[in-house]
Amino acid sequence: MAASTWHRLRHDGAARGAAFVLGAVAAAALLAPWLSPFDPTAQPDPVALRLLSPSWAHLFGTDPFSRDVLSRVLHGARVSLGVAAGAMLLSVTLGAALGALAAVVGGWVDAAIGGLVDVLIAMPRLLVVIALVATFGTLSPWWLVALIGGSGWLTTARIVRAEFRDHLQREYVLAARALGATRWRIVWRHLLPAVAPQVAVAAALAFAAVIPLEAALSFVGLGIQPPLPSWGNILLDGTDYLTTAWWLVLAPVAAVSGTVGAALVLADRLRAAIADEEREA
Amino acid sequence: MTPLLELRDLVVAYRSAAGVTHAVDQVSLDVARGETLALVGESGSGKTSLGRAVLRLVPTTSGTVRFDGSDVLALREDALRAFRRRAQVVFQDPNASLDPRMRVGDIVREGIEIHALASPEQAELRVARLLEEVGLTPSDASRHPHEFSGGERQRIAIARALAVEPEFLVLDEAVSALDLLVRAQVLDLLARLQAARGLTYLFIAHDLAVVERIATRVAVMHQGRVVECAPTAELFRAPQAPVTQALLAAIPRIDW
Repeated sequence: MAASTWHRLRHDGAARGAAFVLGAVAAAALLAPWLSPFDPTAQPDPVALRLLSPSWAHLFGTDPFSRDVLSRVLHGARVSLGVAAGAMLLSVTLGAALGALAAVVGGWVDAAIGGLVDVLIAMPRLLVVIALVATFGTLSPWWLVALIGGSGWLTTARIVRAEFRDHLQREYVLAARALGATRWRIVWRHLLPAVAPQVAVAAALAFAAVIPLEAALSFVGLGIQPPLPSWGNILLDGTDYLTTAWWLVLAPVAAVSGTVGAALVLADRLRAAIADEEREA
Repeated sequence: MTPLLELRDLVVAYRSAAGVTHAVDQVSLDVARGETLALVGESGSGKTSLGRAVLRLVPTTSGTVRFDGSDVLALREDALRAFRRRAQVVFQDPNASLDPRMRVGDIVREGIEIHALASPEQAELRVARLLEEVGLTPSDASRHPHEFSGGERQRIAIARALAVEPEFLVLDEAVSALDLLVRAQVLDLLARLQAARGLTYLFIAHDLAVVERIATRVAVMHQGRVVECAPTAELFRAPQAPVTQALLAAIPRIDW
């Protein structure tokens, strides 16, 4: 009973805490232009104001180019979360659609989608992106979304296909067929609501995987290009000064691990709620 | 008068790793309008496969199914939809046959929506009337299946089937999962609905005790075949096939 899976989740303390953290990070990203004390790309005095330690004026200090780190992390959230959310939506939508298609149509469609999954699983994502960047030069955030999302749908597709095949055998689906429901009505009205909690788990896990992937790409210089700030390239700017100005990496590391941690906790609690529900049903 | 349902040499075979299994093997049966034909047999005798094949819910291997004279296995698109309105099903386990995520009102309304039988406001009224007809209350429409007892859930499944105003119902072990008192109440309801709506039943059960009161005729299945088919009183008085005799012997009798 999915209705009460959501109900359980709403009354789970850890899940609420995680949702609050994600909501706060999303709000910070949306409100970045108003929350930021400084222009994230302005370099007011690269000599006198560089590598300042944290103070009331610059809560997380300034970077080697005299830019305010807090303002950069807040603006970086827009890029990093935007790419992660876009890639997550793309991969979950693609995964649900292809998994549903494979289970409902079956036959050669199922075989073709299964083959595609096998090929993509064998392909290391990071290497593919590096190869593409080497071919086309730098990638825009939109390309990042397309690449990460377009390669991340496999898990969702597998889950949706397996769940659909299970539910297609159940008597409530048989009853709907006996009533004259078309395949697509059964998918929309019965099967998708049935797998929604599982898809939400996959979405949270995808989100948790994309944040560090984008950060890693930007960190090695293949993702978001400076001066546009992202959590990955802010981290990159700070690592050269780890011994002399360690506070530079504090904010981006906290942002990445806090967001990923919250997404993982949410996925875990949702999974527990689904398991509780199934045990009682 | 021609029978409502005519089966001729029906075969339902399943292919598996172990080879081909004939769940239904060369079955020929007629079901007359307004009667209740009971289909009885142990589990695995093929009665559920037969019921599903009649409704075209599982693929058939060979043979024919005629419903009101037309070949069910040859129906396409619109004709199949029209057939689905006329022939409905109630399954054994209402926990499995009702979508746990839907409200009772939406479950009962589904057939009305699929066949566009009423405007949204009229549909609401029809759902309320159907719930009353099966012994529930209109306010039950806003509740979920898990809030009801087994017998009440089976009433919901019956209301869903009746929503499209069928002539024929496959009752696939529809009362087998219920305890005795509730079973008697649901059997009463089915008998009342049959009289009021002129329904024809294919009543599938695994023991003879439950069919004695409701069936006009009884067909006994064994290993995919119909081994005996006779009017109920006759079958109980003079069972011919050994399987029928065994099934009769299995009925618990109270000797006063």
